[in-house]
Amino acid sequence: MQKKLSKLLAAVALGVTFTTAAASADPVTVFHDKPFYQSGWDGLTATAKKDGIDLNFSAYATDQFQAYIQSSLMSGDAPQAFTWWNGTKLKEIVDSGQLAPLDDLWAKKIASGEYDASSAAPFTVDGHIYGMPTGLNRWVVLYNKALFEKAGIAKAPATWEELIAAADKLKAAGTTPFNATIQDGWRGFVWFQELLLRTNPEAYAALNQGKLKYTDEPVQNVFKIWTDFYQKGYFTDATSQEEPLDFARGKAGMYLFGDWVIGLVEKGGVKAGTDFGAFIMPNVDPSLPNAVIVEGAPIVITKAGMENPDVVKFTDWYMSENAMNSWATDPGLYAGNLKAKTPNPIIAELAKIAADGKYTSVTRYWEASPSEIVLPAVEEFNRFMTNPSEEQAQKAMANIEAIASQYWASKQ
Amino acid sequence: MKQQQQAFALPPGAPSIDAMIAAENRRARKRLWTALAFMAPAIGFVAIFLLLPVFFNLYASLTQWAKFSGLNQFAGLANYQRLASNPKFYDATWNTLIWVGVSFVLPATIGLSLAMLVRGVKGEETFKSIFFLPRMFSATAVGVVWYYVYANEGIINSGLRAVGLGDLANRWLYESHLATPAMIVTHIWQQVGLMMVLLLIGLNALPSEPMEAAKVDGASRSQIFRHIVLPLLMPTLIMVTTVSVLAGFTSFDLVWVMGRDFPNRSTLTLSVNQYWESFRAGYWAYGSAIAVVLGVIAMSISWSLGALQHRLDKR
Repeated sequence: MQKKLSKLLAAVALGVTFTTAAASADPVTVFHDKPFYQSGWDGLTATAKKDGIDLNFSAYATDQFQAYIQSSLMSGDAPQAFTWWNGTKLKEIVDSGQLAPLDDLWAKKIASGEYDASSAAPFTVDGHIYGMPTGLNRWVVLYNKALFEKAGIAKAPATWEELIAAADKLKAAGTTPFNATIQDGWRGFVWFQELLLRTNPEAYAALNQGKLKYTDEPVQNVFKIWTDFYQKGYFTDATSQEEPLDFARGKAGMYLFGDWVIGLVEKGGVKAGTDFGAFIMPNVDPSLPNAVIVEGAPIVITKAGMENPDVVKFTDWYMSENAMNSWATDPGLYAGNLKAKTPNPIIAELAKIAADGKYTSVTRYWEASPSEIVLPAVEEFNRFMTNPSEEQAQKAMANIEAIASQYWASKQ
Repeated sequence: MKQQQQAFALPPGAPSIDAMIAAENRRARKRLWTALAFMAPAIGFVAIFLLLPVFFNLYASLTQWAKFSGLNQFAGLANYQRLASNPKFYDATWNTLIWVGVSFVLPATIGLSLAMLVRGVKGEETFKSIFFLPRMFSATAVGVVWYYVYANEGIINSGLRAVGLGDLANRWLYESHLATPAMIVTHIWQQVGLMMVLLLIGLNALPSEPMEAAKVDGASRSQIFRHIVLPLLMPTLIMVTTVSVLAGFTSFDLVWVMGRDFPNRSTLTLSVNQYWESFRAGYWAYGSAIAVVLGVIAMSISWSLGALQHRLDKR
C-alpha cells in the first residue's frame, strides 16, 4: 500500500513538474510590421510546430511598431526577436548596444552551402552580422508580356536606348509605359534612386553619405530625366492607390519595384513568368558597372534573446531549408536560402543572377540615407510626382538640400 | 464664546459649545476622509493617466529625446524654437484653424436647418435615422470610403464625366486648394446627423407658450425663429458648437486616412502633424512640443466657449 502510494506521489510530482515546465515555456514571439506576409508567417508557425518549436508572430502597423521598438529599447525591455530594416536604420539600432551579432550562425549557414556570403552584406554593421533575412529583394522592372507583344517589342530591354525605344513603342500603341504612384506615402524615392544609380552610381553613394548636395549636377540630371519622362507621358496617374493591381490590369507596360511585389501583382490574376517578366534597369551609360538595388529586411535578435535557448534554437531553425521552403509558399517571398525553393520563376532567375556575382548589390535609398533626410525627401519626391514641373523639381532639390545640409552639419 | 454661552443657555448635562464644535470638526474631517477614500480611485486614475502624462509631455518637450536611448539631454526651448521656424507647423496651425472655423459654423448651422426641416414632418424618425447613419461608422472607415469617392476614377469624377462635366473632374485630395475642403465636407457629412439630433432634442424641449403667444400677436415665422426660438435654443446651440469645434480640432483619423499621402504634409492638422513627427519621424521631444501648443489652443477654445455659455446662463 505504502509502495503504491509512493508511486502515485512520484507520478503526481513528475506530472506537476512537466506541467509547470510546459506552462512556463513561452513561445518564441517575433514582432513585426508586415501583416501583408500573413500566409508566410502562418506557414512558418505551422512548420515550426512540426519541428518542435513553439513560434508566434505578432503584427503591428508600421508607425506603432517603430514607436514600440523605440520605447521598449529605451526601457531596456525590447522583444527578443523582431523585424527591422537594413542600412542606416539597422545601424541606429545596433548603436543602442542591445542587438546580438549573429556571426557564428551565418558562418555555419554559409559553410553548409545554404547561404551565399553576399546575402549577409545588407545586415552587416561594423563588421558584424545582425540579422536573419525575411527578404532579400531586388528592385527590378516588371514588364507585361502581352502589352510588349502588342507594341511590337521583341524582348526585354537590355540597354538604356532599348528601354526608351520600348517606352516610345508602348506609348504609340496606347499604353502608358511606366506604373508609378505615391501610394502609401513612401514610394516617391523609387524612381529617384534608380535614375541616380543608372546615371551616376558614385553620386548615389556620395549623396547617401552627405558628400554630395541635392542641388548638385548629378541630382539635377536625375530630375531633368524624370521631368522629361513625365512630359512625354511615360507615367501613370501618381495618385492611384492600387499600384500593383494597376500593373496586373494592364494600365502600364512596365513597373519598377522590389520583387516582393510579384505576389501582390499575381493577386490581380496574372502569373509571374507567363504573363509578366522582369529585367534589371539598364544603365544610361553602358560602361557603368552592373548594379542592382537590394532591400534586405532582417529579423534581429537582442542580447537578452540570445540568452534564451528557445530563441537560439529558433534562429538556427529559421535559416534552414525547411523553414525557408514554408516561407516561400507565399508567392512573393524569398529570403536567400540557396537550397530552398523559390516562389516564382522571376525570383529564381534573380537569385541566379545574384549568385553569379555579375551585379553589385546596392542598398536601397530608404535604408542607405539617414531617415532624418529620407522622410522629408520622399515628401518632396511625392510632391514632384503629383506636379512634375521643372519649377517643382527645383523646389524639391532646394528643400531637400536645406534639410540634408542641416543634418550633416549636425553630425560634424 | 462666553457671551454666546450666556445668550443660549444649554440644558444641564449637554456638552459644551466647544465640545460640540470639536465633535463637528471631527465629523467633518471624517466625512472628508471618507469622501477622499471614495474618490481615491478616480483621483489616482486622473493623476496617473492624465496629469502625469501631461506634465511628462511638458518636460519631454524641453529635452532632446534621442531615438533608442530616450531622454538624454535638457534642451530648454530648442524644440519650441524649431517649431516656430518650421513652415510645416504654420501649415498645420492654419489648417487646424480652418477646421475649427468651419466646425464652429457649418455643422451647427446645417444641423439646425435639417432639424427645422424634419421636425414634425411625416417620417421624421426615418429622416433622423438616415441623417444620423454616417455617425455610426468609424471615422477611419468613412475616410477610406470617401478616399475612393474622391479618387480619380471615383464616383464624383465618374458622375461629372457621365453628365458631360468632365472639365470639373479633379484630383480632389491631391490639389492643395481642394484637399482640405474635400476632407471637411466628409467631416461635416459625418457629423451633421449628430448635431441635428441634439438640436431636435433641444427644439422639442422648448416651451410652446412663448411661440403661441407670439403667433397670437401676429409675429411671422421668421420673427418667431429669430426672436424666440434661437435665444431659447442658445444653450443647446453652444453645447452643439463646443462638441463640433472640439471634434474638428481633434480630428485625426479622417485627416490621417485621407490626407496622410498629400505631398509635403501640407493638408495636415496639428494633431496629425504631432503624430507624424513623433511616431513616424521619431522626433519624440519635438512632437511633445507640438502637443503642448495643441493642448494650449484646445484649452483656450474650450474655456472661451465655456465662458460664453456661463454668461448666457447668467442672463
